[in-house]
Amino acid sequence: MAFAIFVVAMVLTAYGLYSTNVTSSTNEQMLATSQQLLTNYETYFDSVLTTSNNVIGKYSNESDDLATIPSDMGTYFDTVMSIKNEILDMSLYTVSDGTMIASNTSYSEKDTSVTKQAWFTEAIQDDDSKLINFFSRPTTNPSGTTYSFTLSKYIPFEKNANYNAVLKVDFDFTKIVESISPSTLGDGGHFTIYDKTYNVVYSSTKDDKTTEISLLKTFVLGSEIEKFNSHSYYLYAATISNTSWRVAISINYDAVNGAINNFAIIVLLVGVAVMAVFVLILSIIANSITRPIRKLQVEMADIESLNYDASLKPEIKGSKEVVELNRSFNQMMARIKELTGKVVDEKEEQRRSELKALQNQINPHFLYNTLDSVIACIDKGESAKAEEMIIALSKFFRISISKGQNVIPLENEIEHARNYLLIQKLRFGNAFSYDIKVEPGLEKYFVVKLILQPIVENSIGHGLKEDEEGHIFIHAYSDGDFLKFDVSDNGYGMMSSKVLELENSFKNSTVYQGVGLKNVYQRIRIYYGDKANILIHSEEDVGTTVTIVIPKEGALKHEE
Amino acid sequence: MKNKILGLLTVGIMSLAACSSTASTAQIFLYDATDPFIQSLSGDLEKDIKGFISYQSYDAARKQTTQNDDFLKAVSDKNTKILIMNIVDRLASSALIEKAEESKVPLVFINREPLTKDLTVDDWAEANCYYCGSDPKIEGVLQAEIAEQVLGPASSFKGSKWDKKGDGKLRVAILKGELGHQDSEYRTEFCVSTLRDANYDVDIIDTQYCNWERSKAYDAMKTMYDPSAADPIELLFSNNDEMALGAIQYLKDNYVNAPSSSSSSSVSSSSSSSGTSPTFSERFFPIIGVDATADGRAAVEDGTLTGTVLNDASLQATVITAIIRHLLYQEPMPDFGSKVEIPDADNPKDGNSYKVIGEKVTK
Repeated sequence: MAFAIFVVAMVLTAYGLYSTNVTSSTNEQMLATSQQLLTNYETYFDSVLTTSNNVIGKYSNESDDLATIPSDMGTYFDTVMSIKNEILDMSLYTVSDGTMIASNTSYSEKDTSVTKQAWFTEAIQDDDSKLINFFSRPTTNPSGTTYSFTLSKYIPFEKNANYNAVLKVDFDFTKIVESISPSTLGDGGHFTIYDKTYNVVYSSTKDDKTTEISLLKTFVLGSEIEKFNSHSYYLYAATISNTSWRVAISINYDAVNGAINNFAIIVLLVGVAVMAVFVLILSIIANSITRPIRKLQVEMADIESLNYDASLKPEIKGSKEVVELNRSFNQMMARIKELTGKVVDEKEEQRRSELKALQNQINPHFLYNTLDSVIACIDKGESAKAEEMIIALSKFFRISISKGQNVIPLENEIEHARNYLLIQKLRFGNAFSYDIKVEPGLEKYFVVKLILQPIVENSIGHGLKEDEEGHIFIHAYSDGDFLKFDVSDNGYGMMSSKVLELENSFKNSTVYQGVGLKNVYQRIRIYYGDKANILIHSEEDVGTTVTIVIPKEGALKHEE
Repeated sequence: MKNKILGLLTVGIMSLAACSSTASTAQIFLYDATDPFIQSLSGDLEKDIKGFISYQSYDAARKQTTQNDDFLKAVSDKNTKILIMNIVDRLASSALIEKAEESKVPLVFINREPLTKDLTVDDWAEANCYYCGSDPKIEGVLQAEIAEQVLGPASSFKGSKWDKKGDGKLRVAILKGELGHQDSEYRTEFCVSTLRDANYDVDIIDTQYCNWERSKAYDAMKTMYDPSAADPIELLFSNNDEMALGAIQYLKDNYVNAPSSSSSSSVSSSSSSSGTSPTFSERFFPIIGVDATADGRAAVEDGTLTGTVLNDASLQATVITAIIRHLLYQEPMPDFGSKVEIPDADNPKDGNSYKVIGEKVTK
């Protein structure tokens, strides 16, 4: 983005510099052309004035022998005209009545009413006018070929006021224009001579000059770039020295604008191309730097999700710094993995030993009691019952031990509970009955061993009424993502406050009551985590149901 | 660091801006800064105005194009409060007035007078365009009066030491400044007409335009002066001191200090009637200038320049300063007494012209 701005700024700067340079150098050149043309005109009018001055000087120095003046001045006029071939006619008139004093030999037009002519009246109009040369507007003669203007000047004759005169010189303007106008004004380029009231005196073009003149009125002197008559022009306005006329020189400016516009387009295209190339190169460079970093970033994200195996891929290639960074990162990861592995192992070890310890809490009393009962049966000669009891006890312990494994097939756990119930029933006679129901399809699950027996032990110990036959019902079933084991009795039941107290006692480790429940609860929590739970549902005089909840995902495989 | 640079830049730009924005400026355009009279006029003027306005001077070197370029730059500068124009070409004044009116900057023309109708072209020009110069007509009259003082009354001229040809005609040669320049034309016209009015039989034997320049007059004298001419020069009027000094220098170089003194002795013998050595004027002819520049006064002192008319640059500078203060601060124009002709308040079409009256300067 910043780069694009930079390139745009570069393009604009280049364009600005170029157009400024081109404009200023062109303007300088056009100013020079204009001033050259102006100089040409001033030089020309200077020579016109010199002619006028020479005539005045000549006339001032005429002798006061009036008779000699006409021929003397006439000869002088002829001489001047032979040198200056742009002069058409020269003549001299008295101020008083316009009588012709002298003229060149070839002068034919004998105007009788010169006193009414503008050139005559203007020349003697007032004190100021008498001091300056008056230039009349050029006119086209009847044949249409010659474009001429007239200079007139009051000449005092110090020797005889009656011979105060007005000089009239007619100049062929066409010759002048042709000889001093450069052809370098370009298409439509032209110049216009106008007087101080903006009347056009002469123009080298026949185009309409309304716009041009109104523009000239706005800036009077100097130069401007202006558009009129379907062209752009460098328009230069100046006074022509020693005349009341001004000249406006219009030089075609289209080419300059065209060149600037072309340059703008080229610069723009080059700019865009350069920008594209730079962006490409830059993105390649940027990618080569950022890709390894991005990989590293992905790996670090893995770490956040505790996937320590993500790293240790030494193939990240890039700049030296990134490789170094990756190496350090891998080293760090290796170290973290080593440390976490150790922690996991230690935790596992701790768990196993805790589990074993808890399982081992269960057995002794039951064994002693059962063996006592067997002895009693043998004493009473009930050998069949003793045998049955010993067989059950044998199964019970086989499963209890289960070759030292903590987790056993679900059906074994059920079998374990059943053997326990059988032993107890044999011991206590027909004080209770029991039922075990296992939902089909649960055979594949494994559970932590010895979780049902402590619950059943509680049910028998606390849940049976003394005066009627008790019933214990074990129900194993699947409920969504969970395996559930209900151990129900039909005893006294508990008040809900008692239920809460009981749940507190085994779920909160600081309160120490109900060894069996607490033992089971701790073990399933150690093994299955927070999702495992024990729920108690009780109704007074109806009975109590204790439910062990185990997540199925933890019960699918058994540990070695 | 960046902020510091920025700060410095800002301070720099602000101080630059402050510099260029506080100074209201008078722009002074001189037609030729090498002209001694213009030098003393502009020197006096600058001294008078520097106390209350900054100024800048431009030298056009007698080129109206140059003056136009400078003028355009100055008139578009917003600090320009007034334009002092010693215009090269009086006919260009209409364009400059038109341009100044666009920016509403008042104009004071000095020394070279624009056409009256340009000066009063519209209401704005009538209120904001002024002229201050000398009165060339009176200068011409004063030149003639100096001639009369030297030559004596017309009645006794015939046969006097000044009537070289001895026919009673006064043969006058004239060194003119510029064609069409009002000072040049009026000084010439009035010095001649005043002498005629005093009954001198004036014969103008030669008139040369020397563009106010000493060197051109020096060259012009080569053709004008011939000691053995049938019609010798008996009086030389010069439109200014510079041209008079050019003529004097020519005479000095070629006749007074010439290695061969044969021609000078012939002149001296023909013109001297007394035993004492003739003065410069007696030996050649009286030469009368205008301006009373420092060089002109020195020449009057050493006797080579017979007389001159004071074109009072110092008083003109005072009047111009008063006009500037009048235009800028609306201060009323002071009373200059009889030395200055003031505009006719009843005839605004005559233009705001202040003309300083000259003074005879002789030994």
